[in-house]
Amino acid sequence: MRKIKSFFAVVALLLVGASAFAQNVNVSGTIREANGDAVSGAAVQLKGSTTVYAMTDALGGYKISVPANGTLVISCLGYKTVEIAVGGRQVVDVILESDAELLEETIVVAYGTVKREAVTGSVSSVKGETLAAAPVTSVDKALGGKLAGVQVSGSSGQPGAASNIRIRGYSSINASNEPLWVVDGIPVLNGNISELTNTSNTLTTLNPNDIESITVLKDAAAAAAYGSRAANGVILVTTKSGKEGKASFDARAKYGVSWLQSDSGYRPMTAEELLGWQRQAAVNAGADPDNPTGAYYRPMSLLNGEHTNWLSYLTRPGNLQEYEISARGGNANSKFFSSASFHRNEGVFYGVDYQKIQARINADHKLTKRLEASARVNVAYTEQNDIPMQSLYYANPVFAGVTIMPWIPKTNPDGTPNVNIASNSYQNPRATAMYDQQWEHIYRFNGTLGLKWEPFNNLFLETKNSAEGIFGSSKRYWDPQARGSASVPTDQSIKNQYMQLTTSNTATYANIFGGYHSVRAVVGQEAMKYMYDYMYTYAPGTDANMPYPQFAPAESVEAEMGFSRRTMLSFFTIADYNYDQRYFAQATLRADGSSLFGSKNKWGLFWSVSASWNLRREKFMQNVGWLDLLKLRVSYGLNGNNGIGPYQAYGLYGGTSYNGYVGMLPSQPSNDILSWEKNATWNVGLDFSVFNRLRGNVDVYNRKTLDMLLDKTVPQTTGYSTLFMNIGSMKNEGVEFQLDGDIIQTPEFVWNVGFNVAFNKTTILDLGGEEKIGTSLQQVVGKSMYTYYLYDYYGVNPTNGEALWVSNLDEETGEITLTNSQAKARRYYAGSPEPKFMGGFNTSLQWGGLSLSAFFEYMGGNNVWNVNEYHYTNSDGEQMQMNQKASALNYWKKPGDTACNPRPIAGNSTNSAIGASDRWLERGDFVRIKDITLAYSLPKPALDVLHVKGLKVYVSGLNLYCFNDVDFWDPQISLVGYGAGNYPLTKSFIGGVEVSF
Amino acid sequence: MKKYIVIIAAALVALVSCKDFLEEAPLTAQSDVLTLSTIEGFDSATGGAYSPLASADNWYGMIFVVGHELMTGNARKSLTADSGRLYTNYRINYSPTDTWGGLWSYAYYVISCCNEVINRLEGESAELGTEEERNNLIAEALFLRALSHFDLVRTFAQPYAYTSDASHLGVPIVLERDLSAKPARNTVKQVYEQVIADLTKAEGLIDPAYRRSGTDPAAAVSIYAIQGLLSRVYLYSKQWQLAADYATKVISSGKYSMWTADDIFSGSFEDGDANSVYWAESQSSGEVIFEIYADKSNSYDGYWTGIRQMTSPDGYGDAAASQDLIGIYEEGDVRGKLFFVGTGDYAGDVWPAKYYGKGKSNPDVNNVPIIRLSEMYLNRAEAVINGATGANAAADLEIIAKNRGASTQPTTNAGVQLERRKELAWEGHYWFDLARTGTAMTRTDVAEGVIKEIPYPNYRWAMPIPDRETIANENLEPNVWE
Repeated sequence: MRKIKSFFAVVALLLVGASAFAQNVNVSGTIREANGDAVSGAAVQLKGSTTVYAMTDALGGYKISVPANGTLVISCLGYKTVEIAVGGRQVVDVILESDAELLEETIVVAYGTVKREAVTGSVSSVKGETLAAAPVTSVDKALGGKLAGVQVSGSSGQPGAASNIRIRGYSSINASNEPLWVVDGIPVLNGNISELTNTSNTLTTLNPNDIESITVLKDAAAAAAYGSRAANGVILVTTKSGKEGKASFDARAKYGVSWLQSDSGYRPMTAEELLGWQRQAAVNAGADPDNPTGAYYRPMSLLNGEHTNWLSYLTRPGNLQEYEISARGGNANSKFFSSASFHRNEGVFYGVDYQKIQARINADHKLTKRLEASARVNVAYTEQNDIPMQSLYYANPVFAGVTIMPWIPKTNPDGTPNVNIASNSYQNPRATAMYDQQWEHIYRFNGTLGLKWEPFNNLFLETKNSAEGIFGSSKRYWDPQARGSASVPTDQSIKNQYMQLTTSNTATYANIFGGYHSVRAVVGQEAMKYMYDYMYTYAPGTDANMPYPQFAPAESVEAEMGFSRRTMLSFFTIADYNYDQRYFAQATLRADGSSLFGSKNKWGLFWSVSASWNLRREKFMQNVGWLDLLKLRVSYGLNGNNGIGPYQAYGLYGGTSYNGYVGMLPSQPSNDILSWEKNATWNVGLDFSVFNRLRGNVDVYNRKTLDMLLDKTVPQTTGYSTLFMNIGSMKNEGVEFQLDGDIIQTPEFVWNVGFNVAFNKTTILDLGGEEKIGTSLQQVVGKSMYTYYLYDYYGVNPTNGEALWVSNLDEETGEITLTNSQAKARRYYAGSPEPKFMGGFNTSLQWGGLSLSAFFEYMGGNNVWNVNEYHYTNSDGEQMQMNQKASALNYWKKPGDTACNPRPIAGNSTNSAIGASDRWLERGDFVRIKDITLAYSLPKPALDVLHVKGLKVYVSGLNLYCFNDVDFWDPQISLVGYGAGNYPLTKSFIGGVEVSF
Repeated sequence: MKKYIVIIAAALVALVSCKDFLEEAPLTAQSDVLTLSTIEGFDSATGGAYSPLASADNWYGMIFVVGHELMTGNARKSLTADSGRLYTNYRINYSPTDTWGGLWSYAYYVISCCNEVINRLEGESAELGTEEERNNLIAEALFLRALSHFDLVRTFAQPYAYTSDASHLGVPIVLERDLSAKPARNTVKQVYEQVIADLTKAEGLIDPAYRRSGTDPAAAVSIYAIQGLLSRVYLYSKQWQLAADYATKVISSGKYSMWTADDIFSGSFEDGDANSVYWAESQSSGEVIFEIYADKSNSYDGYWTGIRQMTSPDGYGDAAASQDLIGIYEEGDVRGKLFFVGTGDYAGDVWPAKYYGKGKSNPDVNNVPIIRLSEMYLNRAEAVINGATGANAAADLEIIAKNRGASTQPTTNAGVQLERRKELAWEGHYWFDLARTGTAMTRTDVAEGVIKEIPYPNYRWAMPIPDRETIANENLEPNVWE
């Protein structure tokens, strides 16, 4: 926490602004429209000043004191901004031109676009360029901290890794918590599709530079049109389409380096440190470290040879390169956008890399005056190599790097990696990277063909038909050379394919009646079929020179196939109405039928109602000139969560092998009432904009999950242990706040800041009669989604350095009873990995062609259970064959020592380093400098010389520093606050150039 | 492109109009409707119901035999190999959270599998196949259901004679599939009556020539397995005459023959030419009437905790033979040779060799006999000693002794029990024989602090009901352990 405080002190200093002083004259005047109507509430401002301004009154009049040679900037929502020099005058009258475009700003919502003003639900949107600025491999990585209430967390920093996204907390224990991704109107596959590699993100093939905008639908009203898939929110991605005009091209190139770094000082011990620690541990165990026949022989001579810093031997500077070209253009009838990109990322660990080739074409063509065809096609090929991580494997470099003892030689005399390391199970991650294979090659295709017909004015019939395919090939090969023992060469191969076919057909009618009554109505139908197939072979004893199944003994080759299918059929309608752009109402109704659910509950009905009131347009607000926008929104609705595996409603028999025959055994009882989890959500929100400078919104919500799917414990006399039933409930309550301001807005200098914060609290209401689920990480009625249930570690006994535990805490007196026996320690609810608040802030400065922008992400109130590595690397002597982390050196040395680790004892059997202990619980608060970018765009004269339209060079620092106190690589370990052997988030510098011509 | 769009749209519309578009059945598992729609499906469902019996950690694949031996003076935790498993069994310190929960769940699982077969073939599916086919399947299912109920009642309830009319708490009898049922415990008498009813009905239904085909014929239910189990159930409930009569049915069928001393053990471990009929891949002649077939291809194979692994230093080797047991074999008794002193690091223990593996080609697994001919002779001798007629107890005891190279035991209860212990040691009988005869368990060769005696009566003769069950089913009364 102290680092975070010092960080805020620095930021506060940076934010202190400057004031201007000069010789003034009093100026007055009237601001009117071209037709002579007075414009009230217009801002009249001295150019270059944030403090000198006035607002026009009901008659359009204003008074202001400004320097005689100053310039006035007059602005008002809905009008074009005018600048006019005072030139010594005392009366300055101005005519404002209306700015239709500004008022018409639209955003993409479910099945259409609406004017921003007309939105009734809770939505957040972000422009493509904001996302593309960050040098990330997939768009989900760029979303973190950008939008209030959207949490992005990955358990891996590996190139191409998948993320977990939570919008407004958790809604489910057994069904999905991931939002629905919709690209250009079609729901797409997302999530982790790795088979034999550590992680593989489906979304990597969506090029961030292809994205025009992203809208996140957060409440029931906004998302209800997606019915049974909307419970966790919806992320709508719109890709760029062509623009009328001459073809323009953008070429981009970037190159970057990355490295592994802990900002909290986490590192393994050096040889000297470890030897000292081990010798002390041996002595503490009553052993003589200098006795060659003793159990813990650790002579000082171990320091004589060469030492290896294993972590640096197993890591390297990573690098990233990306090249892209895109073109867009069109005429009155045809528009196109296309792009092609190549991306290569070498990880910081040997053996880890990621490559991607991707291309997109988005074309729109008017076949007739009333018929328009469109195509959105994205194709990609990715190649991923890695080595076993995400768990504490001996071959995992991030684990082996901190556990192999420094005096163990890293290489053989011939320079090849030494695998003769008994303490690491004869493995060396460099050998693994060199000899083993672990890869996944994926071909992806995603195409949507659309047809839009306007049979008569105001009615649009639209069909979108999409096919998405992912074809993967994955292999894991274990080579005996990487093991150092007589292990057999073993090949595992997987071929898989995902196919998702979607048809989405809508009819939209929009019109304005009587000048005031705006109506939009949508009716639609959708059908979806999803298919996943895989085939796996396991071939031990294959020929090391030809590691394929056909070169393994036939009787030892095992093969397995898997199939998964699901379908969905939907009908929906959306009705929008507004009166005079003042009162807005929307209702949505959707019926989804799904193959996932029981025969009696195949169909579900989802709905929402919402309304908003644009106060700014009310007569009584006309005089409040400084107010540009004030809008109140209220919504309520019921959405569904269909994120469960297929076939769970079926009564099933599975094959069972016995006595040389295959019989059948019941594996699952039928459940013909299995149904959707339902989310009922209230949302109240306020949108505002003042002084044409400051825009923001506040949302308060309450989201309740009903019919939550749980495995209900049943008596085993039924033949089953649990039944999957719709029996639980939970809720999320929260507040979100987003604020964006233009602090300085002059032609020469622009300073923008943005800030968002979200508070969310999840509470489990009912677990179907159970009090709790889980052991060390529990779901408990009345508590949050995840609560750690851990042994209560007290600290060291200052007199002898033993670990002390709290065996009892008297709730009334607060009196604690201590014990030195771990077995007698009490267990208690020690904390939660869920943040109490999170968000981001950004600032950008622009001066001429130079711009500097920074984006920060933060989170707080959460715990990290830093357990897995610690259990081994801060072992109090239990692990005498593993290196330890440096902070383990802070151990009890003499009577009176406190605030340190227990006295290490070689072969420690006191369980003082037991995993399920709050000793490993740390505060997870952090502020991350996620991205700092310095860019320079060449001025027009220079561009003319070069015959290009634009040229920008930039350098970015990504995740340069994270202010945190978590004694590990990075505080963001996973959504549950712990993880083992994860590829940490890395730091990187990236430089790039973008040319448009 | 327009044409393309139209084609795709038409294809998708066609797909949508398909009336069962929302039906997606699994492809690698079968819906119960399909499985239970043909006689072949019922045959598979019946064959599948055997499978869980082979589970190592839950039933006959290891724990039901080894765990019960460790609760008596027949076995001890090995001194030289110890993976930390089976301590609860050895110390007999069960609790509601650490009890025979695996047996409870597996036995009721098999019961529910059998109920589906029995009730449907007698009910809505009574038209499938021929009557003979149906009867054979029903008989198999009845046998497995009876064996399951029997193993449950002898584990979780006090022995039959605990009360004079066996009115004390047994286990719930489950005869129908009901996912919301919360059955209370039936009395021991009721459970025995149900087991006997199932078995006698099965005996009447099964074709005496019927045997499910499989690698090991003795792993399939036959009329003799049914009769053999009936003999044992009658013996446990002290219905002496019936126990003797059913033993006689099996013995006089002539289908089984006594193993000779050479069958039991020949050669020597030192010379590496040791051999025993216990290590056979299958049993088509000789003593075994019903057994559990073991192979790594079994879905419920125990891998590293199978019976071979837990009783051999080549595996985990947690369970070794007790000196208490070794001491009861006379010089020259071939059964004593089935216990050998380990070599090298494992020389400090005497290891049982009944589960020595199936030879070089399949060393990790071993079949587990459940009912065999010697037990029939012993059952009959005991029944006759206690008043049954129609057989000669002395002759029955002699045929065993003669084939083992041992002296014949006197025709007393003590004599027959001693012969039973020698003959059926490490086959999971001794604990139950002590319980049903109301004999205290005493042992001397145990580790420090491990319980040496359980008097009779004592709460420890009925295992705690798993607490997940008493929590999930408020009608289920627990067994109180002090």
